[in-house]
Amino acid sequence: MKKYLYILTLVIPSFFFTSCTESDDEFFASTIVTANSLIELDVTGNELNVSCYVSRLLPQPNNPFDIYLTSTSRKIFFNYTLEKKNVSGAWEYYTPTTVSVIEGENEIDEIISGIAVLDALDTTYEYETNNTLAPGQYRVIVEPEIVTLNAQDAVMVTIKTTTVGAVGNVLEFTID
Amino acid sequence: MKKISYILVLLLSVGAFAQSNETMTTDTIVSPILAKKNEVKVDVLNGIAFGKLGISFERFLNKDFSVGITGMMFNKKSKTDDFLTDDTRTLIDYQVIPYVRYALSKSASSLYYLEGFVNINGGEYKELTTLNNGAADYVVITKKDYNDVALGGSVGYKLYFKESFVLDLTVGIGKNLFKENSPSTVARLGINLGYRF
Repeated sequence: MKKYLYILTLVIPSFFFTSCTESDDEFFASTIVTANSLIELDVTGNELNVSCYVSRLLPQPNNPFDIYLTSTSRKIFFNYTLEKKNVSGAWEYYTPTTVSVIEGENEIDEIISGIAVLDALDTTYEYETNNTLAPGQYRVIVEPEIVTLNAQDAVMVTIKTTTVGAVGNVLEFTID
Repeated sequence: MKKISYILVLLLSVGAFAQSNETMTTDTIVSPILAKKNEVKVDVLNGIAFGKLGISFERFLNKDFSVGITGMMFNKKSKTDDFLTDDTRTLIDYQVIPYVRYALSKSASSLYYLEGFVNINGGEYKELTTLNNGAADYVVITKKDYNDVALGGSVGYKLYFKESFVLDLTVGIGKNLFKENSPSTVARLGINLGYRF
């Protein structure tokens, strides 16, 4: 019995060793580029328009950066939230019900993921959506980074950007 | 690394306990095991878990000290095939491990030991490389080779059956010394089955 205890005192730590040394040696295939003003917000009448058009060959200071060749991903996404002020004056998440997709796709929950899809000519990732809103005070908060979706066996690309039509990536507006 | 230090301290204390305990029952007759000076072993842990072939030879200098060498090579095909796309940064292709062992226990048939080793290892590592196709830059994952030397220590336990067959468990860690892109640490793990002659 004692012998088996001795054996276990070595076998069990050996698995800890394996996990420790392996987690010290992880590889994250991801790269970050910066390009400003890729997400745009616009309010006209009772419609909130959110758009994101990203050239596959993203202009950079030296050479353009090929998002598709790097990531092999036909979709890129960014997240934003839409909030509405309730009767007590507090912001609460608002899920838009009347959504008109012009380009790309949406994943709508408390956080909305706007998914821009590479067009048929493989030149531009496109996303545009109109949200028709009821009267009230609203706030849109954009997470200013666009990330490639399902960059399997390739390099994940994160694009740090800014939002046109918002101050500090936040837009407050009123629908009458 | 802290965790590893704690485990080492724990193992050493267990080893010390075992030693003090066994002095009470020290063999009064010289064991036939001690008369056999050579041992060959095959690593079944690395063979089964990682598809690596690990073979060791150990030469016993006296009842306390022994020297040996372990060679470990090859990798499971699935491991090498997936290397470019999995989340590990390095893949060790070969290891040559000369070592010195000191027996902590006086019993010849079951004993704890301490080991110091040098691990000469080589393999591949991944990195991101920016290329240009004439129209734009793009980034790809590339593989490159490395070779390095690590120094390290282990503790282990040996159990002999029928005075010739041995089960040898080793756990330890070493630190690569020279190359920035080699694995920072190399594990010394083994469950070896062998024969002493």
